[in-house]
Amino acid sequence: MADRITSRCPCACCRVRGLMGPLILIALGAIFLADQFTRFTFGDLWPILLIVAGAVKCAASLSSRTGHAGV
Amino acid sequence: MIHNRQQRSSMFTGLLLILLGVIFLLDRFDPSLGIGRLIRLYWPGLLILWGLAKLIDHLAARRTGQDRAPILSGSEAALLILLAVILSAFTFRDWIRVHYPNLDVELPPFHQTYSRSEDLAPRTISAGARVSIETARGDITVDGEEGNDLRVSVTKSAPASTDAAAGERMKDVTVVIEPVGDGYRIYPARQDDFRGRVSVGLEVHLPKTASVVAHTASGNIAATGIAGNMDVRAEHGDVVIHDAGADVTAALQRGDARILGVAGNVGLTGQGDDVEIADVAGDATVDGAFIGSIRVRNVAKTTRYTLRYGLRRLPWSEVSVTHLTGRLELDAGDLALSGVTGAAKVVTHNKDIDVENVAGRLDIANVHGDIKVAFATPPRADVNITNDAGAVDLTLPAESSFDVSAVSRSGAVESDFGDRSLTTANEGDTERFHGHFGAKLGAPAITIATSYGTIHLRKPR
Repeated sequence: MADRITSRCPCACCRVRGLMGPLILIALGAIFLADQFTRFTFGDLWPILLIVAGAVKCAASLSSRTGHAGV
Repeated sequence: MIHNRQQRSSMFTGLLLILLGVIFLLDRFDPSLGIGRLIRLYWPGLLILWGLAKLIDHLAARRTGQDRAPILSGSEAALLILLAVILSAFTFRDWIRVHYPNLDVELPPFHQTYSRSEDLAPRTISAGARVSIETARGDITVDGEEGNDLRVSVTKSAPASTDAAAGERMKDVTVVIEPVGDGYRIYPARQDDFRGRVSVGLEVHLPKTASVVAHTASGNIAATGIAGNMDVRAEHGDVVIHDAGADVTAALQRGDARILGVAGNVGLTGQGDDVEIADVAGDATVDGAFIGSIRVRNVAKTTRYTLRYGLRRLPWSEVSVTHLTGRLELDAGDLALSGVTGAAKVVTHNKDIDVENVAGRLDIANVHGDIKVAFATPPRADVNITNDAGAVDLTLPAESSFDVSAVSRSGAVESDFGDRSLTTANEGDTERFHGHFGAKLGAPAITIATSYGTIHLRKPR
């Protein structure tokens, strides 16, 4: 499957997928902050990363690929 | 358009990842939920989720005119296998937790156990009060002292990744001293938190006149110098009791029991390993599946030991002895009894039995094992020994007098005692030795029966 994804691809699917990296970084930062300032530790909250990744994958699969630039 | 011919990526992978995340989160935040049990009940939901995800894929593909994703792609299969492994790990872990509640599943290097100690405000209680001490996990120590003070020291400990996290877990656990009826109840409140059970050890100093009830579901119990009645229950731990002024009852699920110096009766039930009981002014009763070594010394009244196994709970071994001035020792293959001023009765299987100096009536019934009985002074009461597949060796002082009847099937009878009235007879493979020896008056009856072994009547060398 030639599903090459580049940041220049204009289709909705690839734009949503591009959010994966930034959203995971944000979640990671939030978890470490919570570790620092609340009773919850990283050990408690890491599954949030799985949920974020899963949500992005779901959203990507549901969004349109019209105009997908990969071949 | 060529792009329309492309396969869509399925949303199944995304849903699996979300599910995994939710399971891990739930497990952390509500351990009482029992994720393992839920997985065991609701795993077929995974099939429904799979079907729904593919249905949505199919509809979306129809709407956009693209090919739909295959029913199970390689990466999805890999993720599904990973999920199955993780879900079974959860199920297995919860099974372990139910069956072995004291095993810490969170282990080093990520977790270690941190402790905090505190003393509760002392209070004065009335003499002879009934004090009940409970903890779901942790050791209980009870000391009887002069005066009327009740003092409680608490040691909490919990496994956690850092000292601060452990402190957070222990913060809400408080030990309560609550007046109930004619006494007090001491117990930790909120011992179970969202990550499991905090261990709460209780060290209690109380007036020696108190009577004590102590229960720990997991931990040891030690009590010293209590004049009132004591009732202790340790489901996973040892029990040690010294200097009890009244009756002691103890129930174990596993572990050892040591009960030394009791002015009343001792009753031990349940199951466990080693038992040591000594210096008891009343009765000593051990009833249950204590399968380690049993040591009993100096019991003024009756000593009873009953071994029961399995579902039928019928006695497998029974020993009953009155006035044990010496010792009774049992382990898997041997039984030794010496120094009894009253009667003794032994019913066992598969044991080598060694009995010395029983002044009262002696009854022994055994299967598969050798029996050795010796008297330092001439016996005054009847001796009755029944064995199956084993030798019987009886040593009597030369000046003894007795009526004897000894029968060995497929074996022989040998005697150091000779007299005109003692005769040996053979019927088939059975040898019979019987008659009278010594003075007529007050001669006890000695009856011995065995098979496949020699009966030996000896004089001391």
